[in-house]
Amino acid sequence: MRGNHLTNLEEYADAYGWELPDAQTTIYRVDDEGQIGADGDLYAVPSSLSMTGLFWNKDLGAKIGLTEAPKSMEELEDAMAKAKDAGILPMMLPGKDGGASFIYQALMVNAGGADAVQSWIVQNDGASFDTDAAKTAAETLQSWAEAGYLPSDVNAVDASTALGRFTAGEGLFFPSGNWNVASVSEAMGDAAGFTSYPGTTESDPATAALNAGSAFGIPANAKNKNAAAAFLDYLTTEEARQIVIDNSGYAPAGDGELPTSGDALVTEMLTVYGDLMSDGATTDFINNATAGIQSSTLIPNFQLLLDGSLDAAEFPGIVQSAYEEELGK
Amino acid sequence: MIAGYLFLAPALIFYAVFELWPIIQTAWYSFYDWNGIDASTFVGIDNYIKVFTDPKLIGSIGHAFFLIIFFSILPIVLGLITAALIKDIKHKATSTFAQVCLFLPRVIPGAAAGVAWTWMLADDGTVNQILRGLGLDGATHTWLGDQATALSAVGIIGFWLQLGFCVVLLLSGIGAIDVSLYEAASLDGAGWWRQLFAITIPGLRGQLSVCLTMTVVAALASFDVVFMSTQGGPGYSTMVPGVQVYQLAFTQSRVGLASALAIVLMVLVLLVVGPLQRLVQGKGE
Repeated sequence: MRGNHLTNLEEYADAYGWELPDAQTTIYRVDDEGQIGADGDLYAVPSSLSMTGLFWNKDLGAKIGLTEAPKSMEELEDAMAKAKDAGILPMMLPGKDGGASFIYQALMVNAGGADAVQSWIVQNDGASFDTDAAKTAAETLQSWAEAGYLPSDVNAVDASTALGRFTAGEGLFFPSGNWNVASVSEAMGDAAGFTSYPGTTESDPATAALNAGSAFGIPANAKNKNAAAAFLDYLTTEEARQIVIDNSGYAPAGDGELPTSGDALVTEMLTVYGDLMSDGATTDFINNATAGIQSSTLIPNFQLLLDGSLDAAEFPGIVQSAYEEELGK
Repeated sequence: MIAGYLFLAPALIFYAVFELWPIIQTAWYSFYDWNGIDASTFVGIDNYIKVFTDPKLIGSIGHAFFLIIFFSILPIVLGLITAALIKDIKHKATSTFAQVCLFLPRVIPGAAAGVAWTWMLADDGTVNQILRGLGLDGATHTWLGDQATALSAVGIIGFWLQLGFCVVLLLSGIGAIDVSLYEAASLDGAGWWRQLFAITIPGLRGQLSVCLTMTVVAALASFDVVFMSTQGGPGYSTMVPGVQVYQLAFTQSRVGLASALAIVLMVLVLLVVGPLQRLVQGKGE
């Protein structure tokens, strides 16, 4: 958007009467000064939404008396302690490609609020990662690793291996997102559950990171802009939203009644999504704050955090320095 | 005279366009701060200063040098001994079979080898299974997930890939050594090791030089093995310049810095390989 490669979609939004919730489009809005945020003009439209969430194994849960998804982080930690005592791996986590970030982000939002995190992701002036909330989240995550809640080879496990091992029955919880709903449902059927990351206590809002499954923009030098815009309009129709539900585990973009699904896990995901839209605390993904921060800083430093070689208190500062360097600040 | 240049022309043009021009372009990019899409800003030698002062970037160069032990020294030493042993095998079929087995890894793409070894080095992979089978449970590790062992584990993958090449090359060289030299040495009472050092190694100067050059370059420029197995992790413990350049250029969109690192790597390789070649081959002349 800053390089003027995309077309401003505001005219189309007005003409077609698109009503897209802020939560789904803030990251695709940029104002005249290049600042990302809800006040800016629209430059891209999401076709579906990827959303983080927590998978859990209902069969393993039954073994420790967990019949419902945990409604608070306290309950979650309690369940993990019980699982550990029962010889069940509490949480499957892919440390090799930064899989710790989803639950870390949930802990961070719980500790400091969604606005601070979102502000940092969209690169607002003065937003910083070096906060108490980030430090608390890092300390919690590291304490789980030290308590043996994570796989012993966590830094060698990549996302697809983690998914495979979880669906094979290793791990009570698996922090991931709706992109895995289809695979998990197929492999585990009724044994799988999908829930949102709980707030610290039962009265705190649940959290999730939300982003477009695919976002469509129109290049500035495209020849058939109106035709492209017509497709974008199609994406907001009932038909398109139903296609998204039926063929992927993603949540549909746009407002209005959610389409229904025959798959139990997809239905759970849609319920979670609906609840989050009404009273959850959602943000974008911290992994997307800059083009490079995921591979340059987040993945390696989560690995160092998990194997204990990095002091949790230093984690936020390291991420913030890399963020500033990459933004040329 | 002109005919000579005309014969040279096609290959020279190909080389200039696909090898020399990209190198010149990379050097050009290294003086700019560019994200690959928008306009660039001239920054002089800033990128080079970053390469030499950022501990992560310097560290990656250090790791590449460490890999020389596994990619170069081990395969040459063991390759020499293996080649000398194979030479002694009287049975032709066994000797050929041994050579084929040893050379097979070379035929496999590095990326595929990286993936296969990642599975073998996993917690429940082949290596740990063998150790447990031998009763050595304490020796099992998360080879690629533990900072202390990851770089050496990557080195072992590289060793496996380079050994066959060294064996085959050195074996062909040994075949060219006059057999009568060995006979004369045996008559004088020289044992197997003495013959290796007095006859075989001096006779293999040319091949050793080639082996050293190719394996050292493989170590310093390694990309596919590291990328497929660890991506530079855990932490930064296996990051090498090859992977770092890729990440800087394509994931972080810092083309200028990536180019500077690439140029530094190229100069380093030349500085290492040049004298090495002269050292090994020079003595023979």
